[in-house]
Amino acid sequence: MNKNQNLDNNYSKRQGDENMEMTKTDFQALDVNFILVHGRAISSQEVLEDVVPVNWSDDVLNGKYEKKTIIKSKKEEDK
Amino acid sequence: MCKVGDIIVVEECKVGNKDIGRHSFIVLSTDKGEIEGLSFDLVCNLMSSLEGKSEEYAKKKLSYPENMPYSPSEENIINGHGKEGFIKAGVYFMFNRENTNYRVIGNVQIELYIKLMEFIHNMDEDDIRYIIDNL
Repeated sequence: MNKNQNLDNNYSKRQGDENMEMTKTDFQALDVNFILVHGRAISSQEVLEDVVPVNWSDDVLNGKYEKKTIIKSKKEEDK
Repeated sequence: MCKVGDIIVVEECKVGNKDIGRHSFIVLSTDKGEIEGLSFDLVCNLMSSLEGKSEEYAKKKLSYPENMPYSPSEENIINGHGKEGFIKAGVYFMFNRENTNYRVIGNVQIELYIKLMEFIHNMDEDDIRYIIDNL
């Protein structure tokens, strides 16, 4: 099985040297080839029968808090 | 524009020839690719809510091998929904951003994203499915 190599990158950064300051990793993209090679295409809704759409408020959907969310995300990255 | 780790809301998602309406996704890749002659540049996992569901219901759904639980504290969305949910980690939606009506509403915490990658990493191949009906 062709494992997702990006996961290994995340782990190597996370384990690191115990004396080094642990840093957050970037969001490593999924290796899509892994999905296409090992998965299968479907066109049936059966797999989604248990899915309930997440109910966001109109303000969230309209982008009212978008700027605040971006600022909050940047603060999280800087930690 | 969106990036890996973002939470997006897509209007009018399709599975087969049916419109399943508005759904939320976690962006896993924005790399360009092609499948069956169709171009894509967005690959996502679908998010589902457990809002209003019983504990028994939640326990049952989270027992499925392709469903990974998440907490609202693992999202970066101001005034988010505040409810528990799960990610359909075994189902991958392919999109072409140019033809997709979507909006970025926030992102997941890096710890959740790493957890999701681990979850995917450990999945059985039989539980990996992808949908190209939105291309």
